[in-house]
Amino acid sequence: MMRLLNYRWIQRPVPNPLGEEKATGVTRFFSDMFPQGCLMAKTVRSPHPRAKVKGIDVSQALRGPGVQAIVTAKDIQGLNAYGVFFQEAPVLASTEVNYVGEPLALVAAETEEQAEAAAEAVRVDYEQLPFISSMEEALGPDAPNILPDGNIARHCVIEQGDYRKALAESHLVVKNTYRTQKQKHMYLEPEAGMGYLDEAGVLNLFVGGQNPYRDRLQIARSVGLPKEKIRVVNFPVGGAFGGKDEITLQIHLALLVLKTRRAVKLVWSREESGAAGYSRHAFKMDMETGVGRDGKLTANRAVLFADTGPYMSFGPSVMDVAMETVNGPYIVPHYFIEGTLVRTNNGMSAAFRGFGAPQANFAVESQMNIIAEELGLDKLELREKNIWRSRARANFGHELGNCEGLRKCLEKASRSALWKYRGNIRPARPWLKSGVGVAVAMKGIGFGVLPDYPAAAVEVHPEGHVTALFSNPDYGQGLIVSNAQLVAEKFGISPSLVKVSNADTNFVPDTGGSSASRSTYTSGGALLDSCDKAIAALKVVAADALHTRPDAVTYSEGMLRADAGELDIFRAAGLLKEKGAPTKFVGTFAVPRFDSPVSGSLEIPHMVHSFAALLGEVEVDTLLGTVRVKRLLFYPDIGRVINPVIASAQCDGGLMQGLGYAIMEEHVYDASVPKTRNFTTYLVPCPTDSPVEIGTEFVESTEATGPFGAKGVGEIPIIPVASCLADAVRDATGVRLKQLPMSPGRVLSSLPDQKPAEATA
Amino acid sequence: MLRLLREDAGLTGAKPGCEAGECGACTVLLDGQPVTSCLVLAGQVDGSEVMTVEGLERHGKLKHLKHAFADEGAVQCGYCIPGFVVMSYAAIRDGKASDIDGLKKALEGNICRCGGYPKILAAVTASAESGKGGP
Amino acid sequence: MKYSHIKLLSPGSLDEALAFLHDHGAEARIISGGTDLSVYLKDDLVKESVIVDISKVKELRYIQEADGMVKLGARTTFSDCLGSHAVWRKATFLNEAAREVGSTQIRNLATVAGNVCNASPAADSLPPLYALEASVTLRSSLGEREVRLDEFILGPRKTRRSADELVTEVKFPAVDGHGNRFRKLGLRASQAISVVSVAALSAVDGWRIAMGAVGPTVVRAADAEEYLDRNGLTQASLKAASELVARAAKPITDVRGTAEYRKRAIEALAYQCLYDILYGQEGT
Repeated sequence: MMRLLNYRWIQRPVPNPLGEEKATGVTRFFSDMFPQGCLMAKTVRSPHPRAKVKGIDVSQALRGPGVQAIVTAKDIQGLNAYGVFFQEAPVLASTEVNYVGEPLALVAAETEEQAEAAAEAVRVDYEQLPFISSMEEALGPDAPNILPDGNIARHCVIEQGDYRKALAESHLVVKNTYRTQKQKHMYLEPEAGMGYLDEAGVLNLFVGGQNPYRDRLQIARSVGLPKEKIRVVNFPVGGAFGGKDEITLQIHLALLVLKTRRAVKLVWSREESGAAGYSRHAFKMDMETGVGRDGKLTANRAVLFADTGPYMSFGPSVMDVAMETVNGPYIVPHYFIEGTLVRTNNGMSAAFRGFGAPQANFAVESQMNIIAEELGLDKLELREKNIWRSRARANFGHELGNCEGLRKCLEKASRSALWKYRGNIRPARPWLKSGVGVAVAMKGIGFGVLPDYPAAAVEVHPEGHVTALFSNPDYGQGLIVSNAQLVAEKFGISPSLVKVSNADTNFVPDTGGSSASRSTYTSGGALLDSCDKAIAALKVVAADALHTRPDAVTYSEGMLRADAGELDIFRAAGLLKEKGAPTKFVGTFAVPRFDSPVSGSLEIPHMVHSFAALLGEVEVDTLLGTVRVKRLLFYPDIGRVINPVIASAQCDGGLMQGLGYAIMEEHVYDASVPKTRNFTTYLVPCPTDSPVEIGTEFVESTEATGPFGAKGVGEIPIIPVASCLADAVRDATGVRLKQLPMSPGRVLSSLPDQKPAEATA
Repeated sequence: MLRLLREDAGLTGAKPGCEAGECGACTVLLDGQPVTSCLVLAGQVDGSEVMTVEGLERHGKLKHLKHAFADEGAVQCGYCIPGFVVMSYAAIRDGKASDIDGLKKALEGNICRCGGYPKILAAVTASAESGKGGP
Repeated sequence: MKYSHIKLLSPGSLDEALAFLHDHGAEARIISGGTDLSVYLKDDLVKESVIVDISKVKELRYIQEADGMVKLGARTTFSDCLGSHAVWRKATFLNEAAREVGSTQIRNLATVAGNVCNASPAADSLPPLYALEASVTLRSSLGEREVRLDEFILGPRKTRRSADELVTEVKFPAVDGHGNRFRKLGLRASQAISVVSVAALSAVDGWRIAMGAVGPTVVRAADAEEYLDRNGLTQASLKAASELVARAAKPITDVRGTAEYRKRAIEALAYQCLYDILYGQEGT
């Protein structure tokens, strides 16, 4: 209770100011824009998983009615490649294609139908080549190389101690192989954007994205314009979840606008998004985990393979996060972790909420649950014996920060009635079996050792409000309201006086993007620094007005006070303005990090982590193999909670996406052709799949380096769901699934072929 | 009909999400009944009354719902939300929001990929409560 | 629009509709609720040049109980069905199936007759209608005929409807039975195409069991019906009867499930339907 009194505007459910306008349809997404005279664009895509492109004939298509331009690789002035880490994926393919849906040409016409007709009239001469439809094939002896450097895009090994000896001396060694599937983001708004050239010759692009400055960098690199000549706006976005973190159609739109010198709109159809949009990496994970008689982990051997598609994109990050996660938040004295990123022709995998953490969590948490069963230990007790302790030496040789929250997550879960009284649930039919499962999760905040120096700004307006400016797009997380609360708290003014300018390279500093659970932590840190700078400057001008020294001016609740009198910040900002001094203050934040990555990785380790424990209850129909999720009780440590409603909405969302990942979602490729490109074939949870009870209880925790003690919440909820539900299915049926999703067919075939009559016994 | 509403009438509250009747983002009331407008041909609605989210708002029908959606944290990216609001309006009107299972069933045709179902259900329930005894 | 070359005809009455079909039937598709045809249009699967829209033929929207029959006019939507006392009383399992069709929005548009004419083996309404031994009434400007449903449907999207005919009614005997049940397996709780489905009806004159999504058309499980007629439904006969149901299924493998899994699922659904009828369990 005292804690609540300490803060005025954070830790409170301040409603999202965007809520009502989104609810009433007032908010215009980019796909809702229909400017007069705007051209409509379509993309010509490969129908083949792998082929040589012998020629592209656009002559007939160009003659089509209303056609204004056709863009091919020849029109690209800069680099015909994109990619956050390695520029491998062609902007427009010209010599070969490597996945179904790979773009080759772009058409702009007066109407959508004309653009569609012209796109169909573009003749591409292909010579089909043998393609690679699985990681096993890719690594086989006779596999053709997808790219000249071979089918292993990246390979890394991290090792400590002597895992062989430690495993040999362990009381128990648990050895299993786990497999996870491709998951699609399935944002309701597909990839969409609109662009035009303004009078000053600046290329304005309004595109659904997650990182306006990085988008701008990639666009500039390919179209050959200086960055200053490009403006990228990434707000609002109809869902992203990592799928819009890499370039989608940004460069295409830029090329079309530059060629036609007109406004152009480009929106992918659902089926295009289903083929050319990104997926979560499918993993295969061989695990060998040792434990002592005392229940302490002795060693872990994890050999991970991930299908990244033909081009890497975020693959290296995904693999790094998986490698960092696969020991769990546990002390493991000896380990061997090998990661191989494999090229296939199965479409591109990239970032998806949690990067590689949900995959690795499925492996390590399943191992922990199996170990507990084998040792006859309570599953939470086994974790308690092994979890990271604050300031202990962690797996990667570095000293851990504050891990108190992790222990609290476990405590809360073990005190829950669902955990205490599990086993007492009686389903309504003899063939239904109930079970309760548990899992623990960790997620590093931000980019690990990669440098991250976000900048943000606040502007104090004499008219009586403050603007917070940052570039991490609010694509639904609620960052606009939570950052307004942070700024309000710092200034001691109402959040209703804090306006937000978001994700527009023309107006806001480069705070980086929204990904890796970093938005609150980074933009919050930089905003608080800019508030400090604002208050310092306002004190100087106030001192002048009050005829005193700046250090004699105090600040609280929006008021600058000295013995001689007081004035509010808006009045002080007016004085600054009169002097011609800036009223906008840029602040920065240096994300704490270790100097260099663990040998063999790009970004391991992280310094700051969010943690969680999750309990789940399922009801399994043992005749059909269907799994209904009845309860998900989530106990996360996200540091200080800025806005409990918005943070728990993030948790609901991550849990629901995790539920889909665990039991129904799978992006199916058959012979490298995507079969689940729309909402009819790719099923995501609908309202009736929502559990009877889904609840989040945050543990009290603060992170010394975070804004008012905050960490991040975006990814942690999705991470433990599959492993927790697999444990619940095991509790219900006695069978543990090591492959996702736990679809009815897979569940049933793992159950003994139980005849119905026996189910009634 | 969805394209007619959006491109000709400028009513972009109804959104295309799947264009196959699977996601509910384009829900409007056709002669009072919620339908997915992507499945209705423009020529079929000649002579019918179509009410979009904009129309409901203009007629003051969303007073409780829009506040409840915002206050309960039911709005994340927001792309699906106008469809949910139209569907929820009909569910409350038709007495289907009084128990949670009935409400889930009524809203089963609307997908929220941000996964906001618990808060959406809470918002509709709260709105149905506060709306008792008048619109 | 992509399909701007297609002409839409909107008759306001049955006679007008039949006249349009008489003149243009050979190159026409019929649209009613539009929940199937709109998707075919979007996917460019409609080759015909004319669409006859019967959604304004109000006289075809009725549910009547007369002459021992329950009659559903061709414009009867699944929502109408769910609101009908006659259907609840006489064919609860048809309403159980209707509840599973799409979503609220889809049920407000989609019609029972449309579901019949689309003739998908996975259509939710078909197994109960097969079990009810329903028939369809076809009208053309030249006359009217009645065809048993199992004879009307030839395969996926194939029926015995002639180009100039319109299905005006779906009807079934108002049976006073001893219980009926429909269960479907979808891959999520709502809005999922059936992997398989089973409808079971204990009518006064005997058992009728029909299965969806196990072949090109809905299939009746004749051996299981006969077995139950002979032995009655008891705890002892449950298992054998459901095995017999599964034996009549010849499912295929597709993205929603393997043939082997479908076979097991059919047996499970049959068992669950019969169990619920045996123990008088309400629909869940």
